[in-house]
Amino acid sequence: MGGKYNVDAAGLGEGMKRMQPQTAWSDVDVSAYIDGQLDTTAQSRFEAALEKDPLLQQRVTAMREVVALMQAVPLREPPRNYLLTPAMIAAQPAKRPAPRRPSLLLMRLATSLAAVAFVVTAGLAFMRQGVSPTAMVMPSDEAVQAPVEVEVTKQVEALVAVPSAAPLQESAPLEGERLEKRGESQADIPSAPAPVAGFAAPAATEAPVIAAGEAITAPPGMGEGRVAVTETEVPVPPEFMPSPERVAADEALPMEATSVSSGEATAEMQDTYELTATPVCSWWIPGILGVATLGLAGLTYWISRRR
Amino acid sequence: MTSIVTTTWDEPALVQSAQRGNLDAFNALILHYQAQVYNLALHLLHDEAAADDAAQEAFISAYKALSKFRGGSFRAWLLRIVSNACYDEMRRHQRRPTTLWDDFGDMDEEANPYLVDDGPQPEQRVQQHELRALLDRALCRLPQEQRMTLLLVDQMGFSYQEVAETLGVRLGTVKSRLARARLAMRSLLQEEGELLPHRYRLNSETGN
Repeated sequence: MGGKYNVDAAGLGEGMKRMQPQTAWSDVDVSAYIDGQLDTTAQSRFEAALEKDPLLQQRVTAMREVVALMQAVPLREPPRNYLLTPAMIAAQPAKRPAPRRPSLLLMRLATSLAAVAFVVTAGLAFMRQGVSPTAMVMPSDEAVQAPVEVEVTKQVEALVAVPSAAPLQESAPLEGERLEKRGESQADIPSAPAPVAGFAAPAATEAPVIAAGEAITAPPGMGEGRVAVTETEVPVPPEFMPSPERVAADEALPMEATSVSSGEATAEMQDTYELTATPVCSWWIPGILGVATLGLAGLTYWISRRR
Repeated sequence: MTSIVTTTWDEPALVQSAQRGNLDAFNALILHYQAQVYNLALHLLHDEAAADDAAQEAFISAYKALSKFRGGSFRAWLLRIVSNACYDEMRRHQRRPTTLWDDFGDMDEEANPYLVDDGPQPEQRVQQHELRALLDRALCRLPQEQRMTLLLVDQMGFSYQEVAETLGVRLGTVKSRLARARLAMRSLLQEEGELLPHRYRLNSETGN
């Protein structure tokens, strides 16, 4: 029996597969029979077949050899006893969550945002500095610069002061009417802020309109300033308009007449700034953002190096 | 704490006592099953130090989770905890068997208890060592699910139902896995037939 089996089983698996069609019992049945896991009916049928089928006997024998080999080797002895003590149970700490590390991606994002915020605020600060009195080109010849500022001051004062009342219908024309008066059409309105015409040639009878961000341009060569206007399109009501008498008096005054001493001009410049310009842009916000950017960049680099 | 002195093995009583907080009862269970727990961990992790740690951790986890045991086979429940812990460990670390030089410890047999073999060295024991090495090599070449089934049934004496509970599979799956594992194991051992100790050689080889 053994010799025949040996001829068939160059590898037992292949040999068993070749033998399998000759019997109705599968390898699973043979394995279960060895372990006594067949039910009673199947067990009796298997034993009946086993008596008559030599190939089935070989399969059972071959599988039993494997089981015997596996059982011939005892389990390895553990290197020690695993007995528990009350101290081990008590001292066993609960699984601590892994320490949270700041995500590298989040750190990079924060650094980028801080850098962008720094650039934006620094740019804004630089732009705003253009209207601050300190950033205005402090004239070497104050006698030349002062009248310009005073002129601007007067115009702005005319816009914000509350002069005597005038009929609303006359002095607050609709936008279309004003455009017609100017000889302009709606299509001709430039999208970019345009200089206020009133500064170049003040027209007391026309309600000047100042758009947001509109630049107030002084005559060429005499410097320029910028007035921040909070409302987009502000038709100036007549009660805010200067009286014709004052306008006439102003026009009659020569440029030199409005010039004052340098000290007075400086004081008026400050008044001008208080009325029209935004506060002096301080650099402490960009400074803080710059420091924060540098700190975040360093921290991000350190984290990336640690990983 | 009351200590339990058992002259006969009464596993349900020990389990119930351990569930009531009797650590001695649980230690009796540990002594009974620690070899199986360690061997299962060793065959899963292929690293003695890792298997040692896993076995200890598994017993601690089992003690803490003992209230969740609802009856049935205690060793199947225990070995399921072990296998799950080992699978988690493998997934976490993709552990490879490593042997550090420090693991050998002191090479002086007098100082290193692991190198001291105070028992006799009979021929049977030598042959068992050789066979164990061959079996381990062959087992490593089996698919993991077949290896675990074969170990549990043929080495640890688990019933099919216990294996099904331990591995979380159906009974039919256990039967088919076991049959395939036995056939594959025989083929693998035949490949190393000449290396098998004489008394353990398969009939297919000795018959020639």
